[in-house]
Amino acid sequence: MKHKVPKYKFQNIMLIDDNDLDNFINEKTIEANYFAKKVYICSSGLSAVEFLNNMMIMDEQFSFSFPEVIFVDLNMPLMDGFKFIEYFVKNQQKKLNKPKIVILTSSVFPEDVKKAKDISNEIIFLNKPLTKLMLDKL
Amino acid sequence: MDKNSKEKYKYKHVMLVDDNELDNYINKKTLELAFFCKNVYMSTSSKNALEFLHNLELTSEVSSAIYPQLIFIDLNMPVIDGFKFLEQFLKLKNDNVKKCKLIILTSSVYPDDRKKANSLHNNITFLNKPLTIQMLKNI
Repeated sequence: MKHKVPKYKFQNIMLIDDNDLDNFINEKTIEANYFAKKVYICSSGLSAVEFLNNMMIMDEQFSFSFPEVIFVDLNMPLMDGFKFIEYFVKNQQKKLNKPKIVILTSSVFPEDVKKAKDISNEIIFLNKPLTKLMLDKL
Repeated sequence: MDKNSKEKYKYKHVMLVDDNELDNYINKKTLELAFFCKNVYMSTSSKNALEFLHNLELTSEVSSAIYPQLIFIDLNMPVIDGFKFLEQFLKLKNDNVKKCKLIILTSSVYPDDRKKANSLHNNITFLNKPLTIQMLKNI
């Protein structure tokens, strides 16, 4: 009997969204499409910042567990997506082997797209819901 | 201080959970000064701490190497307080949790809190702030 060994595109990715249900659905979509082996989930911007800070102090031998792609929602209480991204780009991105940032939001404001571009050209802007087609393009 | 002096750390990873960032900072410095541990993980809320620990478990092959061996928890915190955190933490089912020592580090001097802590789990240590190097020697 042949066992199909799934090939994952990424090892670790991270989801940041204050909506637990969205996180759950996105996690399932990611798992179903073999996009990533492990999905870290944080339910607030601050929680993500703390998680990544804690990762940064780990020994270098564990750097393989750093997230490679970070999906972040925009509308979140206390620390919103932009605040998180600003902090992340300034303090963490370099030390964590430069993960990709993907904004995954239900916002369709053109200003938000522009604001994301202003922070960094490498930020990808996606609209919910997350689909297989979107994941293939990443 | 002599650069070559190789102080031995008592623990590798220790976690601090306190909503007061200043307390966290001071406690971290105390831990470092006492050569108590190599890495200090910090969280400013119980929820963030639980999420962090959950995410750590995902790195299954190495989780035992990076999981905190000791957690300092404050009691008075908004949303999820120290006791609720402990309840939820003790419910987690993995080997790392069993190996993890728990220490309540609070400014509370209520005897009731001490009693409640002992009733939750018999391995919980109850300490009063501020954290001193002398206290760390006994852990």
